Amino acid sequence: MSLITANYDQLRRYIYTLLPSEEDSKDVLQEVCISISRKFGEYDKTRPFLPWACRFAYLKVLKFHEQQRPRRVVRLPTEVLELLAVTRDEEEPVLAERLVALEKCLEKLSDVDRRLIQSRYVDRASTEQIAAAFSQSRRTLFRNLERVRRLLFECISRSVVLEGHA
Amino acid sequence: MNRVARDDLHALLSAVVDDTIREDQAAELVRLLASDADARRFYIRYLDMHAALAGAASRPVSVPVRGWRVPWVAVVMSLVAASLMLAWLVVSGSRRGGFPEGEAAASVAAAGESLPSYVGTVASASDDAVLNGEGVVPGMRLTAGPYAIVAGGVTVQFDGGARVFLAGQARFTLRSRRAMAIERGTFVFQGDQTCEQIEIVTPRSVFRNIGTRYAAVIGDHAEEVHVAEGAVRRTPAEGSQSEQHELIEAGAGRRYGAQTHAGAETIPLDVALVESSAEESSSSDVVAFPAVVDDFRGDGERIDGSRSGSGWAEPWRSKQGAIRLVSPGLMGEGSSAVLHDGSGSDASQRRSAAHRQFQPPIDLSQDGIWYLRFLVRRGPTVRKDEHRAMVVLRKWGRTPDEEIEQSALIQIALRRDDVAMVRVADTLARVSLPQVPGQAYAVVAKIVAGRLKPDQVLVRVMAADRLAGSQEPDEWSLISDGVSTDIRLDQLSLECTSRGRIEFGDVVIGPTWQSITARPGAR
Repeated sequence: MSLITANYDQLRRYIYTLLPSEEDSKDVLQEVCISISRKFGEYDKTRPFLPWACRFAYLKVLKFHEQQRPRRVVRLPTEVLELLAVTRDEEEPVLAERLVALEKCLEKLSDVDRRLIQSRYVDRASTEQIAAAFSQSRRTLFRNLERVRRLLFECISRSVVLEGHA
Repeated sequence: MNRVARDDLHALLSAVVDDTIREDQAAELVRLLASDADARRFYIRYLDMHAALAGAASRPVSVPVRGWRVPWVAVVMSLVAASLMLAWLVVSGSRRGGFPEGEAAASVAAAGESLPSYVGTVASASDDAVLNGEGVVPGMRLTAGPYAIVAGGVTVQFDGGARVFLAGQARFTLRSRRAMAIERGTFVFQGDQTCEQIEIVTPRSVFRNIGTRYAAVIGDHAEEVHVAEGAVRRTPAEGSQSEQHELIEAGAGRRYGAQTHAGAETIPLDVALVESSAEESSSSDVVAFPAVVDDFRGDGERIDGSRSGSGWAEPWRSKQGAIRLVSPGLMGEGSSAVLHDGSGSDASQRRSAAHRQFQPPIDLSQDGIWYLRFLVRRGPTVRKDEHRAMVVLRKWGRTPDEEIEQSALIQIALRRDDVAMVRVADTLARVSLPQVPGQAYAVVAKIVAGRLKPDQVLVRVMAADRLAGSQEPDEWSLISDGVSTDIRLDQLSLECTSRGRIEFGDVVIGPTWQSITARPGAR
């Protein structure tokens, strides 16, 4: 497995936190893979790969913001991006713990909530399709998604604290 | 953080990830992130959770079983495993890892060594631009060698990522993808740390960028340099009486006159100069249409004998493997695709192919540029399986032996779950490019043919839903070596070697990026 493949998810998640649009972050991830390949000769193999790769990701996100307007409403100013990148670096160990907890918390969801998450994230069904499948209005659907994500988020936070990791 | 603030953030961030956030909410979020460290931590944790959940459908993953879907619990588990492994890597600073198959675009064979090599592309040009006595078309590949801009301005995109805009009747020499000499004229350099460093040699100086945007005016009697971002390391040119090195920081301007040894003169930063570019003065692209199109829409399932699309001389021929037409294809309702399903127990079904002759041919003996694009979607990679989806351009009627002997083909392939490769004649380039099972990709190959220059193929792999309305990219996933061939390619083959599922969608060949990025039938 190549280092890019091994780090693919970390990079994808890193970019998404700085560019919260799935489509835009997908484009940037492609650019990052190309840049890393091109500059791989400069990578010092005695040092961890991920921080080196994330530096490329950060620069590519900045370039994306400079060159084209993100397609979404949230446009983070450069100074906020910088703060978030620093926070993300500091949070990496916590995020790894939270990822472990996410799996357990998914199992604790009710069947209906788990199916909702499955439809949204795994099946990638459209809003209309999910709303129809769950007999909900769009508004109710978004509220339910917010509620389930909140359940997950709080479950993860509790788990991490109980495990004594954070 | 109190409960009210947490409630607010839950609502805001849920709106962010569902793409329902309003302008006023976005402004409130930005304000919170700028001012509150707790809010930033919350934001990072929340969006990371969302991205991890979304990863269930967007992570390249090899599976030991057949099938399209990967259970999300398994994927979250694999995310966890990957994360723990990475955490270990980060903590230990281990030497583990590596690029067993050449992470960088690695050529395994060099051809046409006597030919000048390509070093960059014309990214943009003003309408009145004249380069070496001829008009300039964005997308033109540039070989190493001397150039003169008679009028207008031209932006050169180096293959290493940096851009240089040249104007003012510039005379320059492209030495390699990392070096150029500028005898006179004005240039604006733009690059960052993700780009290869470019050495620019002028009569008085050698400039090296350090994540930079800078400009310079190179005259007969003096040189000026203006640094807008990053820094520039200047070394006096060979033969100069001065040997003083200088680091010019952002915001600074310097002038070097005839008396170089007397030192530089500090001048104000010329903001207008460093912001000038060819994009400002160029008009929109000329509309062009594709020459060959196939959307695979037909009456039945058989691809053998199918006459769908336009620009073809013959119907499809397919005698090998489990390959058929299906609908819907890769672009949803109304689209069709060619499906290879090698998941059965019959080993002979694991290889399949379909071939078709098109016209006019792609003639590599003449100067020209063609674009080929196809859509492809592959299921999960079965362990140890090649899982190769390949499009081949070749000469119609050649036997396999003749083809091998004459190296007369172009192959573009995606294989396993993270490799993209291109073979041009007897050269091969490949790159590690993770791909997500079940995701439709657009693969665009830019085929550059030269009568006296090398032939070369550049390949870009991108999410299929990002193709429509896109511009030709600055950077390519893969760039082949330059080769010298005079072949005429007039056959397109779809070839699969896989124990899983592979679908090919729309195939288009055209003269410009725009001509092949619109959906077939949209003309």
